[in-house]
Amino acid sequence: MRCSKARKLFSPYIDKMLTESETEMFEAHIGACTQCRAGLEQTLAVHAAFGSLEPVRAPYGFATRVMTGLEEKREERWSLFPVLGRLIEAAVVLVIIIIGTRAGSFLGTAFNRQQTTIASSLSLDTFASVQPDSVGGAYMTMMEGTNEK
Amino acid sequence: MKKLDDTDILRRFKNGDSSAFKEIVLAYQDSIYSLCTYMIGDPANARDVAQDVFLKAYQNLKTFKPNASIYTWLYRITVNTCIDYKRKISFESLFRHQQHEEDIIENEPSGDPSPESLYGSKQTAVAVKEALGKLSQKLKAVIVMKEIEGLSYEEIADALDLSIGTVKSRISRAREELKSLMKGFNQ
Repeated sequence: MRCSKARKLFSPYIDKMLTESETEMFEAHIGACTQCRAGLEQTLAVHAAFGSLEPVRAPYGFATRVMTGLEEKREERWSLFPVLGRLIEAAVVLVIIIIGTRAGSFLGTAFNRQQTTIASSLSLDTFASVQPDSVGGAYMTMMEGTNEK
Repeated sequence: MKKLDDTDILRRFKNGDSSAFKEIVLAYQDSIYSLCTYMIGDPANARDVAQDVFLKAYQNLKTFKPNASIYTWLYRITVNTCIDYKRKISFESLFRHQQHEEDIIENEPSGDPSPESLYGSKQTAVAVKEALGKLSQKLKAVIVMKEIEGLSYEEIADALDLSIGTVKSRISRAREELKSLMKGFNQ
């Protein structure tokens, strides 16, 4: 086994992740190579140093704090409902206003159109011209003559 | 760490049994808080982050698919939450005085060790914590899960959604970096 390969196996060897044959080859190399042996010892020292760390435990009352936090979050969510209700009310009012405005403008347009129709119906242009050889035409000529006097 | 019957807990949680989630918190609070403490390096903030982890777990537990165990899933949420937290404060921390890692020591070693060995052990612990603080989040997560939480390569791979090969190489790299970071201490 080469030193470069042996160095890659320090960690798996410590964690017992090597196969039986890999372990044998690795141990044979370590037995013969002082440099790799020193490297392995340093890695083992790092591994052992973790043993000096005491397990960290959650502070007293942590679980209660978590459960209270969850309860508060749930209440916050419920307390959003009145706000949502107000928003829905405002939206409904807004929709009514928009519908009212639109309906008003529509009625206004319809009224204007009706007014125009009435005005145009009263226009003299709408009367057909009187034919001169008709009874009406004779009457009109007679009347014009009377007016001129 | 006491492992729970995931299927039973999930069934009870989905049926609206509020005590089911409390059981999860009680069973895993120490591991999650410990991982947060080492990932963040500050117990006060670790407590808030650990609380955030359980809140996220609560919000997503209904959609949790039991192809992984609850505790490996919790570890994944923890690592991601810690990485997000560190990312968020990394800019601010450039201007803030770094809190001394000695703050992490909360519990006295058990048993009855001699004052010399107690001092030596504390010194080693401080050196390890200082070195851990200099590792990248990726390497820190795997080495803490391996060395402190005692997870197997398979469990770490499950928790972090990595291949066993990646876990193996990250643990090797973490130990190599720690070796050079602690060189002065070991000599």
